[in-house]
Amino acid sequence: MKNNKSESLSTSPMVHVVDDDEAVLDAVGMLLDSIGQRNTCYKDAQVFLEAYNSADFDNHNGCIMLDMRMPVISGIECQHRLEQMGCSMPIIFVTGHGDVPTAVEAMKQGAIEFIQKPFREQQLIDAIQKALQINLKSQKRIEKVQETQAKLKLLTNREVQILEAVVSGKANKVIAIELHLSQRTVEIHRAHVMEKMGVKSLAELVKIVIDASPTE
Amino acid sequence: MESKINVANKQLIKPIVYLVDGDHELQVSLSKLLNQNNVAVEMFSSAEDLLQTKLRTRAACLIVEVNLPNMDGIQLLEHINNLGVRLPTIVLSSDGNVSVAVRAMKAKAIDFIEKPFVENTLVKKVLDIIKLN
Repeated sequence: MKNNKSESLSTSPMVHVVDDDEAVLDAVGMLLDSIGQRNTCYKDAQVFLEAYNSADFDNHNGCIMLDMRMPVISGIECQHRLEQMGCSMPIIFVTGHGDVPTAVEAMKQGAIEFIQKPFREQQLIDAIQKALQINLKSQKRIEKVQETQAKLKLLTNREVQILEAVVSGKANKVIAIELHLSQRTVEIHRAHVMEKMGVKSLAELVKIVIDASPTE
Repeated sequence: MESKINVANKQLIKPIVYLVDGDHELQVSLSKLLNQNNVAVEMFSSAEDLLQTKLRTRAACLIVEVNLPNMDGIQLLEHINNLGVRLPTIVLSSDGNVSVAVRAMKAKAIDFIEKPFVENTLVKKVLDIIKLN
């Protein structure tokens, strides 16, 4: 495994390049270095997946460039496994042996780009920039969700009850009757919920709770 | 025995598939197969033809050939996407290559099928899409 880590900030995104062709790895590594893009090269999918599962691997910030045809674990198989592990980094496929069904399958699985070799350098750079943008957006969304979840943990059981009722659209009066509380008590709990969640309006509260609740 | 009104009602609630393909033979055989499965088919031979029609709410799916006169099938799909309409789309192609397939998938096609294909496979895909709706 060749490590091209440059000295830039550890928070800058990392491009993971996985290809069994050493010449391609070298060329892509050099290309990315020349534009100051942090990158790591892996000589096959196995090596990459091992690294991915190691403790110090930052598995969120960056994107992955995958070769399609590799020994033992193919690019598609690697994509499958990454998906199963909940990998959120966008994947760019690069292949010398592209056929339509494989390309369609890869795109269905959520690859953001499928580039055929030989490709122009700019084509790859564009794809990587697009991938990193997508990654940044999803990162921000995940961060927000985590923030909300952390705030939700600070609520007492009673406050969670009230929150659920409020978000489902019940009026204070109704909540008070259902939970056998006085309306005033509900109002106080409700104010605490708003304060702890850091929101100023009911609309804001509903929005962050819905954004943070698991979809599908 | 079904009354005429019932038959008419059934006709109304049938899901519609839009087929945009200049190939007349394909139009005939596909619409026959889909009709047998209780799916109505509306046929167009160019992208412009489809855009002139008002898309209906019971539209379940769009099947579109890449090779069309003027606006191609993928441009049509992109155009529909830009209008904010989400219509599950299967793209067909008679001279498919990887870059066309990738273009179609990036335009949010559900599937990309190279011609010639087994018609029943396509029908099955369409029925799956309708079920999901």
